[in-house]
Amino acid sequence: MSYVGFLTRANPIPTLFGGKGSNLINLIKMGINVPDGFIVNIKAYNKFLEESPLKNQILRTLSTNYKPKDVLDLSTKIKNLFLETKIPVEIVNEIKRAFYKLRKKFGRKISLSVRSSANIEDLKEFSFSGQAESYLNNNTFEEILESLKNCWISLYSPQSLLYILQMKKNNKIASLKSLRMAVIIQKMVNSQVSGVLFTANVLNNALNQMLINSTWGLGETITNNIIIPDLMILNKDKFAILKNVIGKKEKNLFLIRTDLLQF
Amino acid sequence: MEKIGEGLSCSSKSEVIGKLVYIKTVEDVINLFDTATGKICIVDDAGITTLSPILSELVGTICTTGSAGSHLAIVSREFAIPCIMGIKFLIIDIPSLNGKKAKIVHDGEDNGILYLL
Repeated sequence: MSYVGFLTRANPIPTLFGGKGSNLINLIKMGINVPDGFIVNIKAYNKFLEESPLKNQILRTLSTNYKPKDVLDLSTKIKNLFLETKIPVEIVNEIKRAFYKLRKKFGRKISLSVRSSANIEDLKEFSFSGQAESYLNNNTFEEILESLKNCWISLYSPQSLLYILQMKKNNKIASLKSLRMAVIIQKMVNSQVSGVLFTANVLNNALNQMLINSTWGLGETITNNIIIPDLMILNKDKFAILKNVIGKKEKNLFLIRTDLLQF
Repeated sequence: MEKIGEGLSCSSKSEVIGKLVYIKTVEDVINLFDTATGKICIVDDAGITTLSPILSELVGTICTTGSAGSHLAIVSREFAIPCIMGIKFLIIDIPSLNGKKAKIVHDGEDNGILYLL
């Protein structure tokens, strides 16, 4: 397959699978339990743009020199051009094969998350944290295709365009045309408890400690600042708990059957 | 100096002074884009990630929810800007803080404290 790579079999190449995708592949190679799935690679994104009848218009739009006040209009313009472009049939077919393979393995009720993995995401120079979107709870092939396109579109969200502008100011990125996005399609875990783990204590930079934020249900509420999660600091060697602060966790997101419910 | 809030200090421990700006929408961020220098932004639970575009200009970020693992905390660390997450305000009218001068200090443990000057 040339547009899709399974997480368990792919090699961690950021220029092909983006930052986050490559990091997930690395985790699997280290023997860590990562939910199964596949990545629609950057070649697929390139082909989508390349074969678009609106290609010239898209390239022109991406070459625009814009100012902060232009980002809402520019973002909408790019979104519409992407929405009008069909995903090439070769890519659709490869995703279909990969999707049904996952369904065969995990059953018809499998729910998938569609996650951004930009070429500037989770790298040393950039975190691009939270700039592009993830889409949870995709149950059908059609929903996956829709979320895939929305993921590509979210690369040019108003906040992302502002972030890029800031990076341009600091000479870190030359132009919008250098952005690429792979998209991770991964089995959702129906979690009762979720968390974010840092392998260092990011509050005081202690490298011999780890930090965990946790909450009930899905982890989305932590990264998106919707709640105050629990905070736990651990000693890295013995996993002794050095600090444990229970957060308020007012709202929780649960995956129940095929719907996302917020409490 | 009047203490107006306290929360988890999630990034740089430098002491900073800046004008407070209460941010609610991406439009607020756009309006602030050219004048963000030296500001301390306050956000609550919606549209948090919209702050990151102007982060390198800000001197501090403050959020009424979230923790060390939230996007805002991560990008604040990326730019080495003091960041207080899950702040508990001692006052009720947050929008009235707009334009007021404030100071972020750290208690040497994990807490960040916001003072009105």
